[in-house]
Amino acid sequence: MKIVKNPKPRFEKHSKVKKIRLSENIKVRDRIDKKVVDEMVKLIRLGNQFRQQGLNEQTVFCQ
Amino acid sequence: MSKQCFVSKDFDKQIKSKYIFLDNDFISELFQNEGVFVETLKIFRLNNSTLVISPFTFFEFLRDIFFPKERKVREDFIGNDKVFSPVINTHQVFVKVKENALLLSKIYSHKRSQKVGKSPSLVDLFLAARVMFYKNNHLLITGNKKDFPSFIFDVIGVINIQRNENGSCRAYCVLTI
Repeated sequence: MKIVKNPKPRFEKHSKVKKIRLSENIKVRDRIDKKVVDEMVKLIRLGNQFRQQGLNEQTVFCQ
Repeated sequence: MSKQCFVSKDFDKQIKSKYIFLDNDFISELFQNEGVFVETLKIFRLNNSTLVISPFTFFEFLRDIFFPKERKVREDFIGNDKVFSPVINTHQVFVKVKENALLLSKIYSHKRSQKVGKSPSLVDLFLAARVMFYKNNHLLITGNKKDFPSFIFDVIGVINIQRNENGSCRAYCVLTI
């Protein structure tokens, strides 16, 4: 039987791998959120612009 | 940009990991003010909550828009499923929701018989019925608390939104059934 002196605990390697994966996931999630938020903010700005334009046109149409 | 959303005590705890239905007035508030939208989304994302749109709210948000370009922008806004989740709307679900709406209207009419007041609109009745259908783990945010009376709904939190253009502040209630 082979005796190994001071064996390296196995969980150390696994925990390191897990940590890297988690941080990567968070980064990806943040990036998606930022992209989505930017897209929505753009729509809000356009919406405000069109609402004003729509109100003006509706006023003219009704007159 | 200064802070525009102020929430009640323990708000985070109340909304944590919940599905939250939005009334049309709250979505319209988000659609008009980008600062409020970003702040609100951050609050809900941090608490792992999901914003849910009922089919009737979807309809109310898109109705009566004069300018076609504005309607397209509104469709893109409310149709973004990364922010707002649509709910299942099969015939079977709708039949149950309709039954709930009828039951609620009966309760409302009995409770309101002594008082003078308008009954809630069809859209609000169906939204209440939808929350009633899901019940567990689902909440509702509305600015018109009177359409969701206290003998059915409990207020568990409040979001106050300050508008930068005129400095006014409007309260939106978080309700549970």
